[in-house]
Amino acid sequence: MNAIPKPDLAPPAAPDSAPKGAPKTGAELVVACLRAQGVEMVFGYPGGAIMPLYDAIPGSGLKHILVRHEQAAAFAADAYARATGKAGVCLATSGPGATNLLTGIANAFMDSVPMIAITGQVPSSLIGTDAFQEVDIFGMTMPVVKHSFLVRKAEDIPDIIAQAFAIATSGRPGPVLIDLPKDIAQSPITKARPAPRAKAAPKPYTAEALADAIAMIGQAKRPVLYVGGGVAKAGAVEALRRYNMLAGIPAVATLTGLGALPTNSKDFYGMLGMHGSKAANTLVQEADLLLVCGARFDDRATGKPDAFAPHAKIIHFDCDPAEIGKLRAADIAVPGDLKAALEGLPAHILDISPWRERARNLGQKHAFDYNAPGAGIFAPAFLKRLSEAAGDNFVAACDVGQHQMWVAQHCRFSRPEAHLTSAGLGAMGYGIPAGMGAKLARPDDCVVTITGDGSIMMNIQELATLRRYGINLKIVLFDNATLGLVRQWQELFYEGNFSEIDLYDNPDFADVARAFGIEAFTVSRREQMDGAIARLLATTGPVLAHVHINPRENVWPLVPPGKSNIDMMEH
Amino acid sequence: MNTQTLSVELQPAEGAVLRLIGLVERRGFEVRSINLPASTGSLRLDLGVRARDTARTIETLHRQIKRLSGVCRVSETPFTLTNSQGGGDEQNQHKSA
Repeated sequence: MNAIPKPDLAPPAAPDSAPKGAPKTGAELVVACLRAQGVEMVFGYPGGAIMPLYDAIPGSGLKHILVRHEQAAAFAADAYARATGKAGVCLATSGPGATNLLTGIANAFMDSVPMIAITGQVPSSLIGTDAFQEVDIFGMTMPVVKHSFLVRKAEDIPDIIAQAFAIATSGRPGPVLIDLPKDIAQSPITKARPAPRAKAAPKPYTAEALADAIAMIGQAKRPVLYVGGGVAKAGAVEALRRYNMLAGIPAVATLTGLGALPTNSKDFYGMLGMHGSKAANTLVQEADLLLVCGARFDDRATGKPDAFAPHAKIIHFDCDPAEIGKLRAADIAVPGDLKAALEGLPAHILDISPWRERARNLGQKHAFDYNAPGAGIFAPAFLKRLSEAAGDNFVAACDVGQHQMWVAQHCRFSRPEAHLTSAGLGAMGYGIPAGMGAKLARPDDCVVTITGDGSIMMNIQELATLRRYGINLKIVLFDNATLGLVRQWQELFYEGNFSEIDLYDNPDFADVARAFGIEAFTVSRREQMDGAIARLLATTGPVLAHVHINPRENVWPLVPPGKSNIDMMEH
Repeated sequence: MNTQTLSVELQPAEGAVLRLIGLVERRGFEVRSINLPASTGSLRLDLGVRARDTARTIETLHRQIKRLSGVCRVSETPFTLTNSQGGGDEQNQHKSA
């Protein structure tokens, strides 16, 4: 390897030991406020309008990770937040720096991830004059932030930052933008000090609604738990597990709900929806009651909406009242504190033995088959084996495409933080920066980025960041020399008219990784699979496994567009 | 589809009005009328809105507006702000329940 000095990654000094000097500028006040909020690490990229803030970072106790593209800063901050439950922070300059953050901010918005994005802005006097590197990022991000601020006075900084963190992390989390004009960052400060943290407590549920829910559950003969990402965000994982273990209700999960119940738990039947399991979709279709927990009836989960769970009454638990009734009317709505509501459900086994038996039979009948024909590596088998070998410390940071669905279908997850995926936005390029953010947040976990030959090229420059900081991220690159999921849809739904999906001229990705100073190896034959997994897990430092797979492999099962979930194609 | 009215009380922060109107448009409604009486404190905005398709309900829009930071109150019945300077149109309107 080239001798690139490895920066010190020791944990930053505790807030108490941070420099005691009072902040003298708006920028120093921003840094002091971030530290007061407990921020230890930020991801970013400097530039003209944000230079005062970068001037305040050295010696502040704040650890800055220099990425090679601002989009990666936002994705890394997003994954840092998903892995820690705290708000992730990313920084960029005005104009192109800010617009490069935009996809990452939208990603955090779609998946309800707490994030603070701080952008430099041109000086206040130049705002609205088409100044160099001026864009209205405050306006551009408005549809994809939970809230946003344009700082007009330096003395407002403490209150704005305290509000931003409170908004980002309270209730249904989300990203908050703080646009900071350069003159405000440079202006002298005399009195302002960091304000205290002020996270709002979850709103309580109503006892009447819960009592109605309990009565309805007692009447059900075919109940199904429909688990979404809101369960983990509400801190309700243990409450859900306890309830499900004792009540014994068959459960299914959305893409972001995976891991809330362990993959191998006896009443869990996998993901529902477009690439869900046949058992999960059949159970939902036959259910007479859906207990919807922190989920929002996303179209990828429901398929044709008026054919989704046609016989089921709906009890909808969610911290966000705006999700209740948005796409499917609830018979009983329990908005508010999801954890307290689940803890309030009587946990005793329900008298639904025939339904449990039906669920078990469906689970056995439609179990995934890992005996693929041919001598090549079968990605589902690779992923299943990898997640089992990595054990409970496994964290998958996915990119977007066929491999993302295979991860959701075939990996074993023991906790929700183990599955980091761009679910709502479906943003290719998430995988490597997300893996970086997760590994920096949880250095003792076995973090593996699963990517494809399309997705990796959307943020491949971050291999340099892995190398610079020596981040021990493992990368599995499934290479089918095509945009696989688009190819699959063109094969099935566009009469085989393959349009612009052929990536025959990909570079040799192992060579590319080595050029960045990262260990890499290539495999393609089935007998190489176990050795590849062992080498990945044994390697210290960043490593890339370049895995060739059959370009004609499809993701099965599949609900065709516009069809009911019961109309799954199985091959 | 009929035009319906929503009265919204919100803090007069930068971007507050744009944020509200943008949400209405993005969530499948067209804005058919706007009234924003002068006020010294909170703003009260009366919006006439019309759904672009039958799947959109005013109840969902109401809840989506209510969760915006800086929105204090949403009502399908016009109300009067206690701190208002009293725009001419407010004198004959009743308070919401």
